Amino acid sequence: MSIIDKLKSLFGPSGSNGAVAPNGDMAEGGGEMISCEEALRLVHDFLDGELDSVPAGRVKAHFDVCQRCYPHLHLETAFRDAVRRAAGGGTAPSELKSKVAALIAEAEAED
Amino acid sequence: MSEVPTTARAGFEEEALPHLDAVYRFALRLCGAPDQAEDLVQETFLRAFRSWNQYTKGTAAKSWLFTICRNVYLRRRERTNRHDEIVERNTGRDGPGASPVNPVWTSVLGVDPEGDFFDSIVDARILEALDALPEEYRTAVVLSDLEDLPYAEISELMEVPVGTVKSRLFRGRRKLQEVLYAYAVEMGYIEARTGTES
Repeated sequence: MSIIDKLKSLFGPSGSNGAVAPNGDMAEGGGEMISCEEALRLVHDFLDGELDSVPAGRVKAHFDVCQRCYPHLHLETAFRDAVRRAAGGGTAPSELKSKVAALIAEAEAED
Repeated sequence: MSEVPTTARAGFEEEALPHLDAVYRFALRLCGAPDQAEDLVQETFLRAFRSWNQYTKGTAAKSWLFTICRNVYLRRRERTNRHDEIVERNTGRDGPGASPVNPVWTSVLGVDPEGDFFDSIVDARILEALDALPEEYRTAVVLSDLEDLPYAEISELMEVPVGTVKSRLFRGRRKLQEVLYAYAVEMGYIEARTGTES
């Protein structure tokens, strides 16, 4: 799944409406809105699907409404997409696959 | 020790060989050069086959192969005396416990806050920047961002705590972003921000 697909599944339609969420607001799904500092501290865990201390929905709720933080999330996503585009998804040369298969057959014959 | 069951090859072909492309991609990022990567992949799979009786079927074969691949690479690197900079000394200043505000976020404010400039950077330049990272950072970034391995598997593979994995990812990504941002400014993809930066 690409980062964009992952984000779409996390965010749904574009969420930022320009509001910077003040502390003390209620986040979607209950609980207090997390602060900007906390949202930014958790941005990598959130994108990596590795949140453990805060539910993803609360982090998502912050980025959905915070105009100040949303661009940072978008930048991190654009960065990851660029790295994936440049270095992801390549395949091994077919000759290498043949060589590995031959090595395994040879090693099996030796045993 | 060399006692391999006759069904070993079939099991190996079913569980290990499907990861050959991923191991090749990983080897390529470790070595940088395709011929060295191919050599590394061959040794990785040969060693993996010979150790196949130590592998628990149905577990994380890809991570297991990555572990062998990296260990072979590190041993070779040691032999050739090529060492990357020691990265663990830089603790405390810019780890995840530091300010979450990325300097690149500050630099692009008012110019390209959502980082669209990354789209303009050619693949070769991104690869060059990735390959220039110290191995410990590069491996963490490759395994997380390209191979989607969870922190726990990267931790086991690199034989470091999860906190260290997060720290290496944090530093590796930030360093990569800084290099790519500087390149984008140099190429005119983005205007350099003048004035104060915090």
